Amino acid sequence: MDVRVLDPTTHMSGGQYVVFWQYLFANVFQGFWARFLAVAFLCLAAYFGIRRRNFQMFVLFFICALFVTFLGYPLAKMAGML
Amino acid sequence: MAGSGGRDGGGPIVMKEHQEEKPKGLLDAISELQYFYTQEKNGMDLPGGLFTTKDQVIYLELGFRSTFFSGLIMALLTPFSMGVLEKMIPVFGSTDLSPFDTFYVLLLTLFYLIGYGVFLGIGVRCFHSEYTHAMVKNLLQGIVAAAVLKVVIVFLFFHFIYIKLLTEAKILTVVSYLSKYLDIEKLAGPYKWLLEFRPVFLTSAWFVLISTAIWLAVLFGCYFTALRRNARMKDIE
Repeated sequence: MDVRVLDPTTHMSGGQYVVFWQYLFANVFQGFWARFLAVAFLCLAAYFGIRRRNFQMFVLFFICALFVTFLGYPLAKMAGML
Repeated sequence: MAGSGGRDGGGPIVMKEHQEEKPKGLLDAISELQYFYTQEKNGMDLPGGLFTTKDQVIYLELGFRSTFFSGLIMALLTPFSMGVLEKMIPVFGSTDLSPFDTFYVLLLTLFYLIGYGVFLGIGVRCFHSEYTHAMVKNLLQGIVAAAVLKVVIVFLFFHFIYIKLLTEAKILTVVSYLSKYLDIEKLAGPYKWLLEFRPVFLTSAWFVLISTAIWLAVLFGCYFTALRRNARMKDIE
């Protein structure tokens, strides 16, 4: 099996690949998708915490919600991804 | 362990063997509560004396332990949310909050309190006769003690930060010390931000106090409605 098939730059140019990731990070931590993700994580935290009573999963999803809400954008910016 | 009872004082009632085990968490305690509540509703009459001093201490400790640490951590996150509402901390990459953002941040702050309240609200309603009533009372006492202690600690801590730690003079001292190593222009922004952020600790202290008071009121509301429900049920019987 030729493993080079896994290299995305064989399917698109390096520039396009970088632009794709920049687009992803620019949209995941701000705007609609950030809000959508944050609400989804909070709903999952509620589901696991209240319905399933699984405290570990509650904490995990709650931290994810906090991360997307407060830290995602500044960290992505600091890392130069935005 | 075996106990005798029944509505008509009938035959022996075999109780769960795991009763001798100490409940490890709130989930265990509430499960045990629900188990005995169902037994009592089905006619088993357990005297309150069976809930021994050791059991009382266990439930008291459990209520305290489960509320105190998690509540304290959540309360310490309050300044972040208040900072967002005061437009000093960006949320989703912006300080310009939409009504949805405001609602979401408030929900995030109170999320644990609400979720935990729902969980406990179900638990504290599960009592019928003396035995389960003693369980609920001890659990509630532990929860109330933890909530009050949490509020006192957080309230004093946030006021301490505002009055003693983040004073203009102290911030200025730190900035002047750091100016030996960093450019003063780079420090001007954080200095201004810290000065503006100071009052957030006061808002947070009062927010924690009021939200915990409402939370306790709802919990007691659940408890008293269960008391009324039991009184009505006993009248019917």
